[in-house]
Amino acid sequence: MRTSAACITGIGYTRYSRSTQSSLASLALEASINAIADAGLRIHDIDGVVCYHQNDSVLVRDVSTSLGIKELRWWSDFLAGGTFNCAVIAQAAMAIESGLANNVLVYRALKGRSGKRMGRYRASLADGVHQFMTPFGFSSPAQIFGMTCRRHMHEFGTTRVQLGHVAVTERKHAALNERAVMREPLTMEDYLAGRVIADPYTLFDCCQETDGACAVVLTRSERAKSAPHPPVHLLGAVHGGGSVPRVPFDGWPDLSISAFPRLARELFTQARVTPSDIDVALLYDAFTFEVIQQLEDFGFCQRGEGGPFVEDGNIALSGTIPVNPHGGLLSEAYIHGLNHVIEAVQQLRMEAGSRQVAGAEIALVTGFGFCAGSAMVLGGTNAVS
Amino acid sequence: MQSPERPSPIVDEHSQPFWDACRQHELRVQRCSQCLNFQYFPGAICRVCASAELVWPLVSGSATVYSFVVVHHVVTPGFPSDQPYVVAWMELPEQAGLRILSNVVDCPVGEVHIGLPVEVAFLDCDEFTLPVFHPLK
Repeated sequence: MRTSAACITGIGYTRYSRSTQSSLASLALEASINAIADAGLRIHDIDGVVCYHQNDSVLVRDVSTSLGIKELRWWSDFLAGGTFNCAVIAQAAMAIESGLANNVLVYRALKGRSGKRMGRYRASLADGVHQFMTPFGFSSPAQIFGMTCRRHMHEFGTTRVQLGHVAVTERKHAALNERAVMREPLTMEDYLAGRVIADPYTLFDCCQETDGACAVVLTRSERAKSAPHPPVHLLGAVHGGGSVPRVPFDGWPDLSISAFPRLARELFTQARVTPSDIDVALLYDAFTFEVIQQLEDFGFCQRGEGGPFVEDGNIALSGTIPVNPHGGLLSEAYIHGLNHVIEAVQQLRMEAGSRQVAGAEIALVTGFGFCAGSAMVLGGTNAVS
Repeated sequence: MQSPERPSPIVDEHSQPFWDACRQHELRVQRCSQCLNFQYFPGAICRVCASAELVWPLVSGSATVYSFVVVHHVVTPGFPSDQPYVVAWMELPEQAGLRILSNVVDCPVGEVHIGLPVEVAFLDCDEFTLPVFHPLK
């Protein structure tokens, strides 16, 4: 029997765009207020708040002050990026399970396009590990993570067309999602003609940079039964790394093997599921290749076979493992992966409209960072017996 | 060749010997005097045995390209926006898996490939010297 001490009962989000007039604080508030209302709660019911911050962000104490939360019992600000999208849900659940809080608000807001851009992250500061990177013109995520894609291509013959299938498939999904920023059709020809960013990555291999915010509310499971929407259960979560859990993986043994095969095994053991139980996968897709790598790492296909697996149509809505029905970071938005959590909840609530995966009861969500990150398994009402 | 606008490495106590050696056109890599493990990037202690007894031996300067990217979308100051350049992880022969991150220079970007033998050269900037690598002649 699966159990879950905490449930997701509320989700909220703003419009996603490439440029908004709203302040960062306003985006965070809008998503938070929407999530609290969606959970059927009032602001003063919230007694825990948590966020993760890298680059553009707004601190928990600012958001809590603006919301007017009277009795904050637990809060945390993590200095982390998109790899923390599931960790932050797990942290909120742990706070509830341990009795530190009853109703926890999780949010992430950024003006990632019109404000501080990840693609220019630390482009000119060469301190710490960056002293061995920035002077050589090496700082952006596309450059750093492109190294792993290149190695996989070398070892397994993974092709540009296979990467393109990830981009094209996710764009098709985004066309069904009114929230998605990028909804116009993307053909393989368009993909292959994309300008080079950091070869092997070209324009459509790289996720967007987005202005927007997402928020999630978690509640103690026994209270969740009275929430307006079917509760979504946290069946398991992992949050860790390999032998070098820092970017850019200096000293990593093999750049074609990420930290996630072990994390995946531990997650599936904890959640008592196997890859074949997963109905829909929200895979962190800052870059196309990361989807291919995670399909291997989480056991949806064998190591080295991720390229042919996507080429065969397995990740489409109608495929064996539908991936990112919302369009992902590539085509929906880049809200540091908290938008993956929103989509997982909508899928498990059967609220995803024309992009709904039929019979979705168990979802995998990941925050992939090659050397470290987080992942979780969420279950709909029928997944908990 | 001078590249005065490149970001300057902010040297710390653990990296000082590395950058000082580069200034002398020597490639030195941090090594544990107890378990003899080489490590790059350098650190305060040995990653393998946690010893703080670290030394800085000279290495051969030869290497092999392990993985690389060709940067076309340039965001780093001091790098001309119209000149694609190569950043590579290069494996040193001194120890399996010991890799250094640097540029591959004096080579058309289209000719860089995994397995390419390279050797170190030194790029003197105003305030610091960078170890870069070119194909073995």
